[in-house]
Amino acid sequence: MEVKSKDGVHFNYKKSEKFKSIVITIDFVEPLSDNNLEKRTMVAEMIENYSNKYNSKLKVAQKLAKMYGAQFGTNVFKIGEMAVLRILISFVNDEYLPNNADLIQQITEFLHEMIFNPYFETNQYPKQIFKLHQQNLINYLQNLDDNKKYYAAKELSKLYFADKPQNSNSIFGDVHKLKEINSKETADYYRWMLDHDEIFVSVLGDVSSSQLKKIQQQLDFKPRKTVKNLVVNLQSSSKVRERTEVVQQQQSILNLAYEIPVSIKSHDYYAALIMNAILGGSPLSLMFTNIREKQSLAYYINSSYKSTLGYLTIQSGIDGENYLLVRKMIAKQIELIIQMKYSDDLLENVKLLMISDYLTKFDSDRQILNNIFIESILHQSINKGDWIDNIKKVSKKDIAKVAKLLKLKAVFFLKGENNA
Amino acid sequence: MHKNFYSRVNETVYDEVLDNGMKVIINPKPSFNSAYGILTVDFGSINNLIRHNDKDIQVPAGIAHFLEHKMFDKKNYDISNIFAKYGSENNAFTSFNQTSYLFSATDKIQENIDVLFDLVQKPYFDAKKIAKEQGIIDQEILMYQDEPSSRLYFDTIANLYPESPLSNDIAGSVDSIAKISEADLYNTYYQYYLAANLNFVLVGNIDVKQVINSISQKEKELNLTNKGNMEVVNQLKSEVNQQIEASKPISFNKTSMQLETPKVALGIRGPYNQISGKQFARNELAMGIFLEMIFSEDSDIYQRLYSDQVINESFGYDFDMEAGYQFIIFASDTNEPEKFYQQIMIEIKRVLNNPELIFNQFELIKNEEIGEHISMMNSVSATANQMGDKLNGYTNLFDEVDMISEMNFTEVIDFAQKFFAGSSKTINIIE
Repeated sequence: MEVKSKDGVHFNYKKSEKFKSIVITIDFVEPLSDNNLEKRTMVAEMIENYSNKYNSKLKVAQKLAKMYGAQFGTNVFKIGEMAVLRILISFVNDEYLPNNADLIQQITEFLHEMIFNPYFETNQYPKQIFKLHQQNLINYLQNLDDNKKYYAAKELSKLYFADKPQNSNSIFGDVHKLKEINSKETADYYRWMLDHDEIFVSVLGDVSSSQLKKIQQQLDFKPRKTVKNLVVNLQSSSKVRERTEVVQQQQSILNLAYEIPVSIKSHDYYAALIMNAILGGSPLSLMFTNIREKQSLAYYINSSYKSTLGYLTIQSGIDGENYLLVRKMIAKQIELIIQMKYSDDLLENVKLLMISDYLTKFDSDRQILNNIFIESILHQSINKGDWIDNIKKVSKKDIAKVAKLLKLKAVFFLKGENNA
Repeated sequence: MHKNFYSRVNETVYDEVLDNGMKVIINPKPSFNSAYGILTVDFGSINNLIRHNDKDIQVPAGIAHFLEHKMFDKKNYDISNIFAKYGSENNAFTSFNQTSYLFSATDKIQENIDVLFDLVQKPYFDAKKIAKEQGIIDQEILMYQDEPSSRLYFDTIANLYPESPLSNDIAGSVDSIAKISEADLYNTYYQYYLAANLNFVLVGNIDVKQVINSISQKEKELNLTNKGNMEVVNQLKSEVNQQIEASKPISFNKTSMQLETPKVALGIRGPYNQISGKQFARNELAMGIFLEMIFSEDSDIYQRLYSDQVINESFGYDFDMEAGYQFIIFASDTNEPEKFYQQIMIEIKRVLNNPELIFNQFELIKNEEIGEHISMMNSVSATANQMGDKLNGYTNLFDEVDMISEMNFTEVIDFAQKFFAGSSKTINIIE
């Protein structure tokens, strides 16, 4: 699948006639560093909205509209201990457009312009524009905490990674540090990043080889050093940390985090995936059935397993008075898995569901692209048949073995008290 | 089955109205792995009237959503467990106007369709099951009440149509659902779950012939053939629409939720609308284009408001058009709520008085809309959710591409001018 690669620049193409669009992603990857997060957030914001030629949000938006509503955007996210800045463009395949527009040509020129010709005046972003976006981002980040589910997840992560705070820091960076950065240092950082971050370009759709060449020519990144392989560095935290906070709201939110030292490269990985689905990662799960359906103690109660950092979290919305009961019930469900006290049907059905979800993932262009990126960064690809076989082979014993590894490390309880 | 081929986008749609009145629509996508089936009852949270012994009586708010939950729970089994045997995802949702049940599967499609049809039949309710569900839904209601964006949206609608069925939460309130009885559930179910009040859409990797055969077989087995009662259902729906129409907007409301930055919404209620069929679909698209010409990022008006810090990235709007009501909600996080709603109103008025101001935007927005519609076809679920309904004359995603291409500027401005001429507004602030 990787059609071309030079030092630190990877180019992947996946042909697909399933979709009426072509999607291109460009991922800039570097090790997570506390010093760069805020600058990366601002860089992502500026790339999305300005270039030298399209020097206003309006010009960018109008160009995209002209290209039949091409969708263009940037986002930042973490994968393990890596920071990723993704640029994505999605546009309709010429075949489906009324008047034979050569969209690929326009799109690749546009991408080139947005990446290689940033809107700099005397070597930095125009100060006023920079300030406007900076202020909007600050507001956006400050408002995130108004979503209490988000806030509870963030606080849980802080407790869990108390020994290694860079893993719990928001990928957007810190609001106070964001206030401090200026246009000049952000521009300098962008120039540096353009030459030093490892680059993954992925293309999905029905594209001819000459069109593919065009894309490669326009995205001609210089060779650079490869960033070290994606480190799968499983955390272990020494002690259990618990914190309760009281807020004025109707519902209480109970979040827990467990250590589970099983990475995507471990051969227990598939057992861990299934264990999570049986515990709380699927609608068939024990927590859903026993805590929600049988006891009516929650509307939502789920678990999710983060294989790149080796932990599993549980999140639930409950009545504050049921705090102890729900905690006891959660512990009990883990115990049931360890003791293999659940039906064979449940295991079989969870596997069927996971396989179906897995196949359905390949009906989404965004998910396929993400998969291409992850396989490329992990230097590990797996074909569909093997993935399905690996799931099928997992036994109750394998699942019990990984469930035994779960160690509760953090509890965050956002207690709702409605005085209104 | 009628077969309709859309050559421009290379898509085929089969559709038929069964003898019992139920509409079936199929869009095969053979290159995909999954299939998505969705069965919709034209019955939602606003439909809180039933006819009992020739009298129209009110049932507790939230009953449509409560029924949606309880339909899974049969006498001796849970439907979700049957779906699970076939490895499929299943879900359901209730809105103001509809209740939908759906599955997504990559195997055993026929079996999944069978289960979906069973789901809307053979209801079983008892006091114990009802009490248990009340506990779960209580938590669901409280969860949404703690979410400021959700509160802003629904409270704004409630202020546009106070004390009408639209002012109730879709899930009802903790008090209203506590009143739901076994008899309420059965009566409501038999009132609205009629074959002629249902439609079934199937999109994705399917064997068309087999599915068509089995559905005509299904029709014979369906216990939902109470066709005559559709007349009553339509009368009840129009009563509800009259209640909505009769309500008088509350012009201003402020709530405290201790937010970092206040949230403000400007709600605009359009005139009562009695158009249906293809013209309904055209009007809906026209209004969508009108709003995009002013408030999408590619308009200079949007950019000016952004530079003047009237709006920011949190800005968004929603336009909803249904049989008995139509409204727009503009919302943003801002420290200057007055500036926000005043400026939005000023811009709309300016454009309505001088439509030529946005004429340059027209072709641009049309192109953009066409591209976005085609992109939606990449998703099995998005396509299935855009296959049209009774109200819009079953205008689907593929028809809309042609409709947009044919749309002219005058038509768009005419509809917008009528909408705003008969409109009233509300301001809602949460801080």
